[in-house]
Amino acid sequence: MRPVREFDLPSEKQAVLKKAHRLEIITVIYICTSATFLGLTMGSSQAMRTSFFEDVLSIIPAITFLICIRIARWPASKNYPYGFHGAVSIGYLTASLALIGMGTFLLIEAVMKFAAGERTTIGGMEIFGHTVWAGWPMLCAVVYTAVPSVFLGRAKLKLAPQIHDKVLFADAQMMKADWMAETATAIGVLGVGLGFWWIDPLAASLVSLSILHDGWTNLSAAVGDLIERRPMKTDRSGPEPLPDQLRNAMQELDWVEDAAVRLREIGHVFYGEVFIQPRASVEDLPRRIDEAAGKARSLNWRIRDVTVMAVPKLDAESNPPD
Amino acid sequence: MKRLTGRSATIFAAVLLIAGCDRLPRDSAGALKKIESERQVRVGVAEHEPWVRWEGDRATGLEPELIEQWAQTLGARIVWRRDSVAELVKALHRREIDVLAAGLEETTPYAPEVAASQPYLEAPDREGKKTPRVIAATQGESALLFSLDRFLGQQDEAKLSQRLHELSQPAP
Repeated sequence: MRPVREFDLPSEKQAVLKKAHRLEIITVIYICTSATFLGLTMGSSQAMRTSFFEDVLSIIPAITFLICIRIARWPASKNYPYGFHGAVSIGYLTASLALIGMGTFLLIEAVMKFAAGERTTIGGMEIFGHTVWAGWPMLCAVVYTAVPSVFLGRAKLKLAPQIHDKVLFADAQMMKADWMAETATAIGVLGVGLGFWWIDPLAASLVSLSILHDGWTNLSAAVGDLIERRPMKTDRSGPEPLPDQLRNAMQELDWVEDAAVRLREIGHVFYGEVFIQPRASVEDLPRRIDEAAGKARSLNWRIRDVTVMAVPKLDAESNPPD
Repeated sequence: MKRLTGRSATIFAAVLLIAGCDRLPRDSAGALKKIESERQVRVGVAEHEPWVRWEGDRATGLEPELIEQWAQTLGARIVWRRDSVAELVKALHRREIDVLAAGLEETTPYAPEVAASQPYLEAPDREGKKTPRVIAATQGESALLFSLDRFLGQQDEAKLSQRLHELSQPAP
């Protein structure tokens, strides 16, 4: 089969990608340390336990990103004629499923412990031969986990729409959920310290719900991608304007009477079809069609490949209103 | 001068923080306060050689010895209650006793139902594997547990080990 052409990001986008790559490596290292810290201090607090798993899970989008951008750049071949951009969608689906699974598990656990009448008790912890209230090291771990998440999340949120990376966007959102969840955990731990044991399972449930919510929004976006829904903007704020831009560009060609497009999003890029109704007296149609395809590809780096097809007449259904 | 004010402000803040630290944790049902006001600790004991023994009308063994010393620091006397572990765990849950001594291992299946102290000693179990030992307290009473943990943290593990060895020897 005929593979699609070689492809690379434009140079200014490559710089953004490099930055994102570096941020994600920092994230992975940082999550490893914070998860260790949380794991060592969690004790019997359900909120701390939930927080620990939430933290371990939040490494998944970062790792998915690091693996997928590598795979997505493998060249297309005879056996994979469309290239490997689909890897990003698969990674995205996997990450969102992991979120849903863990959110459900932790929510059930918190509710069951509450129902069984288990009361969180936070006693002492020996640190360098000194027994301190275990809530203090827990709170330190929580702060250590939460504060850098704010900055990392913000930085990623800025980069994601520039390289149209949904995994990166999901990761940025997850970091936001992360520090919000940590705040709930801190309230849970302090609540236990003040003698309100029920604040702990309550905080744990809220954190689980936030994980579930993240999982659900990401799952619906990932499934939408795989069903090849109409392309949406990376920040999910609405439909992607690129299909309309492509149609306009095609209509501007002097030999074109009318045009319609159909694009699908695979990972960072688009594949699709352009339907052109040529003007009556057009000569040398194959060459013109080939030029139109070239123009389409050069319109935006995200248009990876399009098939241009000449049709005798485009009807109203070709361009349905919004 | 300005620098000095800044420094004293920092010290003041630190002192406040440390003072605040002292107030946490609190109990959810005031178990520790009750012990201090009524001057008595209700202790459940389940026989488990050489950790807990029953002699006449009182408990002996390593854990009762530790609990007696801890009760002394609180100025409280001890009311013993002798039963099986399963019954005592229920009693702990119903708040009929404050602490439970049964030579429990840290990985005890009763862990979800009790508030376990920090391990105070590592000693071999029946198969000879070293396992950390804990004393249990009522759940939800963080101040009580912290008081016990702080006391256990002050103990010398080598001395406890030695004492356990003495208690393990058959009586002459």
